[in-house]
Amino acid sequence: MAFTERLFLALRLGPEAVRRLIDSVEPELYDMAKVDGRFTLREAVAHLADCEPIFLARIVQTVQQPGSTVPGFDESVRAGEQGYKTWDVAQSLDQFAANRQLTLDYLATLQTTDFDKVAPHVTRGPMSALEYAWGIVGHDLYHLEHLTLYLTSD
Amino acid sequence: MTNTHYLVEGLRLSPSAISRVIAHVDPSMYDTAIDEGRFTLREAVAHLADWEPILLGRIKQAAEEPGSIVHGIDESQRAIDQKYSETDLTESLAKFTSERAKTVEYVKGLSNEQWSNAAIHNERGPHTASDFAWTMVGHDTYHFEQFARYLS
Repeated sequence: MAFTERLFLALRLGPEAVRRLIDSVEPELYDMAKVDGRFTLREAVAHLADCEPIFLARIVQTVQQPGSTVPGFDESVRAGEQGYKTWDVAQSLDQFAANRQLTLDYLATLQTTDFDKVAPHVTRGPMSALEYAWGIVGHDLYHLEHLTLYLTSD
Repeated sequence: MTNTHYLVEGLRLSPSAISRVIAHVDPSMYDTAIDEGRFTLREAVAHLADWEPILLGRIKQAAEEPGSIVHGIDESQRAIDQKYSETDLTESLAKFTSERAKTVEYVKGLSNEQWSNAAIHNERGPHTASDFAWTMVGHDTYHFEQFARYLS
C-alpha cells in the first residue's frame, strides 16, 4: 500500500471509529466532563465536526499559497462561540463524516508534489501539506483516546 | 522538519485507547474474524505487539542511517510464524504498551534533521523518519476502528 493510501485509509476510518465508539456510550454520559478542562463527549464530537473544514482549509492554503502563514485559533473560545454544548451528537457525527469526505475528495485531487509544499503555521512553524493531513489523523486519535473514557460510567 | 505534537500524542495514547476498547469486548469474540481475510482481535493485538519493535527499527534506520534499505515483511506469513492465534491477549497488550513507550521515548529525542532523514523501503520507496512514524499513527487508527467493531 502506498504511503498516501495509508493516509487516506486512516482519514476515512477516523469518523467511523468515532461513530462505533459512541454507539457503545450511554447517552446520559454525553455531557459529563471526564477530565477537568477537557471537552465533554458532546463538545468533542462537535469540535471534530467543526474543525474539519478548518483543517482542510490549512491544506488548501498550503497547496495554493505555499509560504503563506496559516492562522491558528483558540479551541476553547471557538467552542463557546459555536455553542458546542448545544450540538446534537448524532448530527455532529454526520457532519464530521461529511466534512471528512470533503477533505478526502480534495486530497484525491492533489499531485505528489503538492503534498511537499510548505506553509508555516503561526505557532507550530513550517509544515507541509502532508504533515497537515497526517496531523488530522493524529488529532482523531487524540480524541478517540479521550472518548474511550466514556465506555464506563464512573 | 516535522510538527510532532499530534504525532507523539497519537503514538503515546494508542495503547490506552486500544486497551480501554478491548476491556469492553466480550472475550468470546476474541477469536472471531469480523471481516474475511483480516486478523481476529487476538491476532491483531499480537500483530501490534510484534510489529512495534520492527516499526521503531524503521524510524531509527531512517533517522540514523539515511539512504539505507528497509526490507518489507510479509505480515500474513509472520502471523503464522509467530503463532498470533495462540497468543495471550493480556500479554500482547502489555507488550504493545511497553514497546510503544520505547518508541515514544526514542522519537521525542529526534532532531529536526533526523525527522527528515529518509531510508528506502524496498517495496514502497523513500520514507523519512517522520513518514514511518506517521504511518504508525495511521496503522493504530486502522486497528482501533477494527477493535471498535467488536463493541457492537
